[in-house]
Amino acid sequence: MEFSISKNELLAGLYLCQGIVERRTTIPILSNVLMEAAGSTVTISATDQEIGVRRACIGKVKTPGSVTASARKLYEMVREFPDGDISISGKDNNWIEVKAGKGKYRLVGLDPREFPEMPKVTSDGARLAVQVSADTLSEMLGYTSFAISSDETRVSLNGILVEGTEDGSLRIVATDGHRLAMITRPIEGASNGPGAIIPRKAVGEMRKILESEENDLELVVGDGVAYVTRGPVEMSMRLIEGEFPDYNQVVPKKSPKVVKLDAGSLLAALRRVSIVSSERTKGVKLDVTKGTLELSSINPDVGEGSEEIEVDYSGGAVHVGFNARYLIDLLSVVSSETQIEIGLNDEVSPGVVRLDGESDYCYIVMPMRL
Amino acid sequence: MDKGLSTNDHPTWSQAVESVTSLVSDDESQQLIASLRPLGREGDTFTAEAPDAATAALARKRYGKLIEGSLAQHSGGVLRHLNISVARGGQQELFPSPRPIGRPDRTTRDRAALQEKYTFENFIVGASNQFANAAAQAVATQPGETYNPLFLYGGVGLGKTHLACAIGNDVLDRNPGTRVVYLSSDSFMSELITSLRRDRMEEFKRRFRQVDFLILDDVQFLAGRERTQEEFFHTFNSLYESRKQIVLTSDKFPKEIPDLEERLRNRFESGLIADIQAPDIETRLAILEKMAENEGLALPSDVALFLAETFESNVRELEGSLTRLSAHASLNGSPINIDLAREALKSFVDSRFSHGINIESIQEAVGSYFHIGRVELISKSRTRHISNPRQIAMFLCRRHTDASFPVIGARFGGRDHSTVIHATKVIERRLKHDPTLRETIDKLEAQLTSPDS
Repeated sequence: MEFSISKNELLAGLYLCQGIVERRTTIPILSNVLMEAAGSTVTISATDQEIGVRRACIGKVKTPGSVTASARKLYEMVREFPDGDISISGKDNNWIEVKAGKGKYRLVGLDPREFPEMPKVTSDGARLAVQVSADTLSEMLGYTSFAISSDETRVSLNGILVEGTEDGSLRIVATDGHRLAMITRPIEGASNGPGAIIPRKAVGEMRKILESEENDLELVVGDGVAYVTRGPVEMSMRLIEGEFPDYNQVVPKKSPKVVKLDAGSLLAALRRVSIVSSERTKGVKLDVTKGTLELSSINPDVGEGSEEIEVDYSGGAVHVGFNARYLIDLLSVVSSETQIEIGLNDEVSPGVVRLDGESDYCYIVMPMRL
Repeated sequence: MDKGLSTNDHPTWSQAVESVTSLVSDDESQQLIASLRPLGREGDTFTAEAPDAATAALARKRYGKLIEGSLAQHSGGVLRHLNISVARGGQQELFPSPRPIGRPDRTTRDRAALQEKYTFENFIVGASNQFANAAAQAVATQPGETYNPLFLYGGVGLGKTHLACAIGNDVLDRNPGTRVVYLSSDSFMSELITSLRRDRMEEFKRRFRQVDFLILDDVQFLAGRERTQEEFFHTFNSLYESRKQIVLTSDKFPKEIPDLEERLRNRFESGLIADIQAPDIETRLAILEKMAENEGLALPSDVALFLAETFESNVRELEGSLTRLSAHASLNGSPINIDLAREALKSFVDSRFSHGINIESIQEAVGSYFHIGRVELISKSRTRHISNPRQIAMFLCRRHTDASFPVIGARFGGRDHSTVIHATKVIERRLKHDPTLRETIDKLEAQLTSPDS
């Protein structure tokens, strides 16, 4: 087996594999990438048996065949090579030889036949099949994925819920049980059906594909497996089996008291005030009166502080406590000029954050009793 | 109330706490008391808050009275009551959750599967179980230190499970955060099998090796289960080495459990073996009186004596007899008296004393009722017209003989005890809503217990 390939093509393939391969794995082949050369294509793949990614890279194939090599070592090496062509050939005992410029390296490999199959999805029986622009999906994931739970005891919250709605939209929901982010966008091909929970790691890899490749992205959700393609990249992933909580019941119908302000000033003030809040709970008190929002925090071990922000508000006074981190998470992903609305009711009702010009987005945060 | 107050703003509180703290010696208790924050007084009540509900409960239970007394003393009798509230500042949940988020593996009583009704308070102590009860109490107060493992040994229906659950409940009362796991050996085995099948052994190991308190009921069922014994051996060692308490119950001495690996036998014998004997008549009477009191029954002493004399060797049956009797009484609208007792328990008493009932006679009776031979009944055949009578026969054996599940299984063509357990469960379930089956069973029982059978 022998092929040559441009540094950039090879790097693009290896880059996508980095997030997939496990650093510590009991199955050695899972830390390797598989390179299959055929026709004018070198397909580079990696899998951790939950997620599989493959990218078809353009190359000049001299002799078709397959080899594997350490995903990490190969990536580190290729990154340092000068621009230009790199040639890779398979040797006896699964060794591979890598030549670039005046450099010549030999790397140990493993038998490519041991490389596991990727999770598969069959297009028939697909619950959902949509084509979505990268910008739209990036935004949808950006506004939601920070709310994914990292509590491993609540498996069904360790991912995002993706589902089609009756009116032909795609909806993404993420929650950790204390806050919930939900966004809905009209997407061609979306139709009402049961949702799928895509695990956190796969969401991260999907975002990587959205950054680094071109074209629209196609998402197919089947039974237990989902499948994503974009340009030369394909990714398949096992879904989380479990029931996503009924998010409809927690979205407040209306919040009587709506505070309007810009994201940037709230973020800056929250970051400062939360320095003196309790490390663990990050509790910050919001006292809203006509035209003013006062943020305050107190920690007997550290001290106390408060900040005032001018806001657009004319209702009665409201006092409520929130975990500052939850608000900061959202404010960090929106641009600082964004006008936001915080819907409040009383100290035990959830706060609902909406973004100006994003009518299909809402972020619900449960209060803390302070 | 002002949150910003420190201990110094409440001199009475700090004095009271200081004198209480000087009375307790261990760090844990001192920390517990120190974690209480004074909030203020209202009338004769002083309020302090604990960081969470568990701490509040513990503080109330252990030091509530002590601090209250000390407050009264230091305030010159102005303060009479102490109110320990739970600190506000909790993050509220979006979805009502069955257990708190963020505390993986925290064992609530539900998850521990402990039967809450079994406590030390309602365990009747007599000469026959005094030793076991004392050992159990010691283990609950000082888990992992005194007797590890505690091996509770005793016959069927004498209260092994009651004591084992009481230990677990007591430990959870004292320290609600303790990870107590209670399960039967059967469940241990089936969880092991499931984990093996699903390739989730790491999870299984983690689950059992990270508990603080393991209670394994009916370890005699580990007999002959090599893989389960192997896994339990490792679980045992891992817990033992980290000084976690293990409680085992069995109806056999470790020596008498067949096909038990030597190394496991040694482990079982390495702690304290406490046996529970059949209760003496005084204890049996005490059990009946306690039960009557709890249920609000008027139990004449001659009736109590009759029951206690009739049911000698099994507390469960003894209690069952009283339940049956009270059901009869309320059905007939008559008070409990000796005639009613004799009448209500007639078939039961008869069946216990009619030595004619054994596995063979049941197999004969069931066979002839369904017109199939005994050989067929115990054959490997799994067709419905054979398996249904077989399940009924197993059920009757369990109900009317003293034979254990494994023994019944062996006498039905060498079947596994789990098959027998399954059969009895199936029949019990069907009995609830299948009148035809009920009739069948009634007829068979009548036939079996009739004097001329």
